[in-house]
Amino acid sequence: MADLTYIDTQIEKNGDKLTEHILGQLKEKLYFANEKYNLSNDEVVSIIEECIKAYEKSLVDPGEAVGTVAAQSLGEPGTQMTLNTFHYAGVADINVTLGLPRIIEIVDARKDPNTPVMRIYLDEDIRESREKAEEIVKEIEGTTIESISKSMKIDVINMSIVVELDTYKMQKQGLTLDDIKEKLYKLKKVESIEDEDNFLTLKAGDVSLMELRKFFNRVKSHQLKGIKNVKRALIKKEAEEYVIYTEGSNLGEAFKIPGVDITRSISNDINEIQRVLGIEAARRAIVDEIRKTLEEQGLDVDIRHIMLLADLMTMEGEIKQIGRHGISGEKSSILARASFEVTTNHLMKAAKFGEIDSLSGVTENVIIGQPIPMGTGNVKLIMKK
Amino acid sequence: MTKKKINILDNEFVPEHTILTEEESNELLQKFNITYDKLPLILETDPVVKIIGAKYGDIIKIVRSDSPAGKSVFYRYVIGEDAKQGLEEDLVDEIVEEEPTEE
Amino acid sequence: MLNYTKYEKVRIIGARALQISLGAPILIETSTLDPIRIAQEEMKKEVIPITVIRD
Repeated sequence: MADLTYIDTQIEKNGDKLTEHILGQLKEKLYFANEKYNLSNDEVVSIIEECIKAYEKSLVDPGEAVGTVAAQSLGEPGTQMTLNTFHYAGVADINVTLGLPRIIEIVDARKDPNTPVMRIYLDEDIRESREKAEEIVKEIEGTTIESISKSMKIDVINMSIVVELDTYKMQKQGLTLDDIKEKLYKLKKVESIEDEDNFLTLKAGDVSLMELRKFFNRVKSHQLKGIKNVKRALIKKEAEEYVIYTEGSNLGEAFKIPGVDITRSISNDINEIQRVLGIEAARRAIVDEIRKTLEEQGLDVDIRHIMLLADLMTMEGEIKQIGRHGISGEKSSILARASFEVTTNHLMKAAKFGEIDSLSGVTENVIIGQPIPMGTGNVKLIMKK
Repeated sequence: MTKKKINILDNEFVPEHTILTEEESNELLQKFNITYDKLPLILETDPVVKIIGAKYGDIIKIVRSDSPAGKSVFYRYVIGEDAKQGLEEDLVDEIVEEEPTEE
Repeated sequence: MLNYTKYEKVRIIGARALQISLGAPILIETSTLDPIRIAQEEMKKEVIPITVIRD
């Protein structure tokens, strides 16, 4: 039976040939096999050798067209995806863009995704309490004056705005009359607020009817409470804990709320994640979002293709879209750029400045009918002396 | 209410970032036989870079744990925001906007 | 021997097979007549006088 220290030294000797993760697994399995089959020293060595051989075989050879393979692997399932924009995923009542439109949204790195959603987890000690979750929902959910009033109208005779407040809704949101008045005074143009029973009368000073209408709309959407951009928040029970889903996303502000678990809460707005958590988190988010979208459609794409895409998009330190304004628009070859979109623009500009195409990429060489610099086309032979 | 401490490095989406020393950086560039400009970039204004206090010209080692191979190591070169902007202006100038025609 | 990638192996075998098919003397004892097979056998025995440039 091989000595355990012998296995350790053998593994250590080959430490630079395998990854840390594989080495750990190999060690564990060798210990186990040693116990079961009484391995000899030679057998241990040949198992490790065999393992290194298998690992090296699984590596991608230099020259392999990994980008093309990734593009095909993502493109083919794309043809089978739904063209439906909306679906109700996970939570009832919250719309999430899914399927092909979602993939396009991610790949285009849109600044304003259609349905930003946050998934907010709670701190460990309050995770299982529904009341605490509801308290946090109240802090998150945006409340406008419109949502806590029974009616709002313009009083043309007195040139003022009359709001009838709903006391029940006010109580539910934990707002008092003074709170509301204080918030409303922060609005521009508000001259005086009078309250009578549950009626608020806002005067805007000397304004025309048109201006009063504009003012009315501003009052209507004025945020009294909650996080900016978040319209709604819902509680859902997942396993043993309560999770809050929000319509609209503002991760930076959500983190500031006491009770929110910073370690796990996340948004689906990739640009926002880049702003708040950095480029590496954004890369992870791209991978996760694409994987989830594909999985939801019952499609199975190797994660390495998606990771390659995400790496490419985050290469420059900020998110670049795959398209005219991003990756494809920044290629150094004129012919490659011209073959994508806005052909004439690129050719005209190149002609104007006398640009030179060094024909070092794939697209250019396909266009002029030469072997492409990939795989066997990238090998230069020489006779041995 | 007491003010809450926010440390974004705690988020599970943020992998471990460490700044390489000059020695380690040279070793890395030698190992892959590259110059620093071949490395992927990270902006100086990136929230994580700000927290760990990396400066323009540093190389950051990132250990990701979401890869199918267990842990994977990645490197990024820290670049200033203005350097980036100058680069972009050069590329963008004069490209006239025109809607692409579907082909 | 250099650790050739699969693409390099293919190119070397291909170039050598072309030479053989054009009448170049073969460097091993073999019973096959197919130039590609011969080139493959030569590759295995590492006798092909061709290598690659890597830059």
